Amino acid sequence: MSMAPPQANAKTVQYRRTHNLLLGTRLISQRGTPSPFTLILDSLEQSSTPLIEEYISRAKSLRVGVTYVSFTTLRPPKDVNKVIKARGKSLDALQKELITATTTTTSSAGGQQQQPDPSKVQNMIIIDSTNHLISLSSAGEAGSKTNMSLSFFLSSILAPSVTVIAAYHTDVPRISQSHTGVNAYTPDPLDLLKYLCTTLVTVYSPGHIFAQKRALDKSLPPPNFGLEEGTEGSLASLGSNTGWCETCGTNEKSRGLIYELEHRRMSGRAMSEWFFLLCHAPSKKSKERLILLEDHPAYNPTIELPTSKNEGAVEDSDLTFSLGLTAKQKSDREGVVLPYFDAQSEEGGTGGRILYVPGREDDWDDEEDEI
Amino acid sequence: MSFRKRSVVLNTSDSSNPASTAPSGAPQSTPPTPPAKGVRPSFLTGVPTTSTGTASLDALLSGHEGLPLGSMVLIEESSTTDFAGALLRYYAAEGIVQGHNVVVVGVGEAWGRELPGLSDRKEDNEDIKKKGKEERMKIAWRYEALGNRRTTDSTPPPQMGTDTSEPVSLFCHTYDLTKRLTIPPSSKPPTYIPPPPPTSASPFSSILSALHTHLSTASSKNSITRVLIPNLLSPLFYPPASSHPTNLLQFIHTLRSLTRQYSQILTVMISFPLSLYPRTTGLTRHLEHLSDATIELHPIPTFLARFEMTKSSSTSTSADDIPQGLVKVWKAIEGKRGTGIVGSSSKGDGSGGVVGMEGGDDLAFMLTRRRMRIERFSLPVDEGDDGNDEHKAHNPSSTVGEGVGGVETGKKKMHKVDLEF
Amino acid sequence: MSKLPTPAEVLGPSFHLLPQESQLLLITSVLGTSPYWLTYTLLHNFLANGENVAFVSFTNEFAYFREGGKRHGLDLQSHLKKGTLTFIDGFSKLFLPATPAQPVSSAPAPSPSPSRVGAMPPRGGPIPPRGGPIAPRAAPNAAIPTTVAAAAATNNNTPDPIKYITLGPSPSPSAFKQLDHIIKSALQGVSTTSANKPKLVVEGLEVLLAAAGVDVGTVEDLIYDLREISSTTTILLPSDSVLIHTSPTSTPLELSHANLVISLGHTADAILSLRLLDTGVAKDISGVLRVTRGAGNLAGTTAGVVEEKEMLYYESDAGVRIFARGSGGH
Repeated sequence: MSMAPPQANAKTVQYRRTHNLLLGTRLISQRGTPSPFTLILDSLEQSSTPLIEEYISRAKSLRVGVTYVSFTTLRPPKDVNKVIKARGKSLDALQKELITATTTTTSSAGGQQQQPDPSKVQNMIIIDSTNHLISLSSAGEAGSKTNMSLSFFLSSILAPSVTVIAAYHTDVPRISQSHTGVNAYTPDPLDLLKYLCTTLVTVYSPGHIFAQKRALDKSLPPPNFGLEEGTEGSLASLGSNTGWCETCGTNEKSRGLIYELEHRRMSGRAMSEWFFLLCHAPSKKSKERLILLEDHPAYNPTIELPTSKNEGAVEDSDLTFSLGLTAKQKSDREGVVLPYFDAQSEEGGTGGRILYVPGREDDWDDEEDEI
Repeated sequence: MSFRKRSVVLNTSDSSNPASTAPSGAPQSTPPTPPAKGVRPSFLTGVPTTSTGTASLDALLSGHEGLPLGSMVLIEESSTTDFAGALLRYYAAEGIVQGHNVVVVGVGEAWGRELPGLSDRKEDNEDIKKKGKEERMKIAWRYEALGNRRTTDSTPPPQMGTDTSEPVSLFCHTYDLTKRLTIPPSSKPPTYIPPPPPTSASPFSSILSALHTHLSTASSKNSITRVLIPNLLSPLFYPPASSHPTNLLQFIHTLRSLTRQYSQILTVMISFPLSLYPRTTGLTRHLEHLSDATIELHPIPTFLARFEMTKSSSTSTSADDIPQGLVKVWKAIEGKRGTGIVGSSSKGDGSGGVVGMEGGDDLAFMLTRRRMRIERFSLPVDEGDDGNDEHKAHNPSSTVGEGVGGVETGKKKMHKVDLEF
Repeated sequence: MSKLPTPAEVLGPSFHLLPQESQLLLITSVLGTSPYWLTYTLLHNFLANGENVAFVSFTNEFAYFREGGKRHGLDLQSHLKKGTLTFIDGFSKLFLPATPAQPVSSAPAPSPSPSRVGAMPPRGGPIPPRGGPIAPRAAPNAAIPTTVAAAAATNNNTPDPIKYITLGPSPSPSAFKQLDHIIKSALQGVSTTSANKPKLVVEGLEVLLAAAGVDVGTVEDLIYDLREISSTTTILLPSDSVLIHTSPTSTPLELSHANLVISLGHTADAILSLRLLDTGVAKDISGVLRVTRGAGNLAGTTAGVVEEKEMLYYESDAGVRIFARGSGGH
């Protein structure tokens, strides 16, 4: 679970700042080509709640109907259109209820502007605990009539106009089903979910990630958190669900979190990136709260944030001469043969040997001197 | 007399004396009747307690200086040895001598034939007398510190006893493992509840119903009852199904509820083999949570081996003082019911804290041919240095040991070898 | 009378225990620590504010809490009489047969009510003096071993306001459903006397998992059902590493315990963990209290913010004190 955060990579950050951040923003806003099934892995150290609330509020501004499937949440987020209490229901019943909910909210909540664009997402289903969905689907008890598979359930609720955002608590151990009749050769349910999802998100507590980064920067072993903290009887570590901000109050700053995102595109290309969802927009100019993790000063103190968009050009325009090189000048420079170049290659392999032929003035004594 | 006075206060817990901090489990009909034999009020809270038969174990019980009635003690042993068996036998023998009901669960009558007899060694009895005096002094001091909550005459009656004449009212006797207990005419022999049949699916139901019967009769006669379960879950006595949590933990849970239901008469002591059910399993941990006190005996054979090796050089140390292993108190009995306070540590009352808790002072046990005791495991004393009295003065732990009461003082030196934990 | 820290000191001054919202406090403890002082802290606050409380315990009887509460100046007995406190005893008779298995009338009737067992009926009797099983769906004599019976009537005229849960010696799944019903009806009974939803404190649920063999899903369902009709729910569970650290070799016992504790941690507003000092026993320190913010406190809530903290605590005759590391014992 506790995966070491990546080292800052100055070479690629520029590319990722434009491409990955854009895609990351699109995915969280469900704009453009949406990701039909987003799986969010969370833990006691960092809940997925702030991220899910972000999905909901962005969906709201796009007038997407939000259906919240609650297994464990008694106080669902405010802006959802419909809450379906899933506890105690069979997978069949849940499936039926979800299908009706997503087809009706399209016409009612989607409301007046009936856009015939099928690629546009109109319904978002949020599942608060996929752990419970898994145990529901694998409960081979006599009580449940049909043994609907998890994958069948998910594919049945996914329509072109529906996206699913599902949270999964990675630290809750699954109780293996030792019931007879359960196929021992089926893949692990979490592996199955990871395989099925088009976007895989893992959320982390900023405080914990920063602590690990600081340790790694000093070549120290990164600290562990949560159940792995190694403190007897400790369930959650300090710094859990606290967010990170120097200006906001406790409540506001906990809207912030770090997440690792892996998006699989239809083309087969995958994008993987670490993001920081800030609790407030970094500058007055933009409203966007999502930045690359490497662009957060607490994570990467050396980062130079792009102040203007004209990268590549040398900024000191006051000079009367150019510091840069043209392509030709560069290749010419490569071609310059340096002194003693031949001498170095001649003795190839022996390396820094001194080649010297003693002259008359050297007063060479064969018995005493040697090279 | 103050004992009686105290009891009166205890019994009015419903209304008349709201200021009293009446502990639970006060004797029922105490105003007219004196406490049963072998029962005395806790030094700490006044709840009735009874002795485990091992004075140094009594001293480990959070300052009660006895096992409060209505509690269940789990003695774990992390080896195939049977040191815990010795503690259980003392506990049983003490019960017999005091005329209590002794109920032995799961093992055959052969187990009970090996109960230790009362010691007639002079020095043991001298020990007791001395300790009795010491205790009285300590009590006086302690309660002085507490603002005269209790006067000195409330101390247990003089502790003197021999095995021939009926001991007047000794709280804890000294036993000699080389002897066999002869059951006094006033006492009953132990009752045995047979182990469950080997194929039983619910192995504990027969035990429980037998216990119910015993306890309901015992409680009607108001006779103090000790239930012993030696080697719980030992595959020699218990069928495989016993270790299933729904069997074992249900049994222990019911047993716990029985200790509360019969809190005026019942104490339970269980020994449990950790080598089969280590403390790293959830089963054992649940068992520990459900018991009132958990004490682990952790035999360390190298203690003795080391002694053998250095025997020649040390003159004062006898084999009797070499510990066989460590004692760990994983769960101390609650000092005050309902609070979770283990031991008392209010300022004037410096004694009786949780001794030997994890990471605290180490405790060791030593079982000699004659007796078993638990002592502080002192810091190492320099080899070759002699003169114990001197060391005693310099060794803070032995001074503290005195304060704890009953933990024997004047340690001979013990060597703390490198332990691997 | 001894002093206890206030909920504000424990959870942060801005966090409020709301009368209507379904909040969840998860209190965990390890072997050697006792979480009950936190319970008394909360009970004190609830009862002093005139809230109704239902208290369910599976590992201790009422007398235990009555004595403990008394030491902290909390008169649970009078609250029980007044009806502001409902005690549901899932400990004393949980695995006893619902009907007397053997003659127990020999129990000492003449002896006065035992102080330890307090308000319980004369000891020895698995069945209380009056008031048959009130579990509506349970016919009194049918399905003898698995009948769940609330052993005391709820009416005011009964002297025993404690309700008992009995699963019988070999609990069946149907028994657990009725267990849910008993606690629910108790909660609803409490809530009729006040406009506010009652507070709920549940202790010892691990017994249901471990000893009764109830499956986690059923216990969780029970908790959520109860949370829906109560405001602040406080759940006490052990969190020893042995019980919550799982590996592929873990037994179902450990897995289901870990599953329950961590699942609840994911919905809790605050997790309050008690543990022993890492360095061992100290004279003036009983243990460490760690409060962390749970996901339940993140969602748009009006309850205010749980402040995370790690404090030492010391339990003594003088009460319980919490203090920062290094700030000394006295």
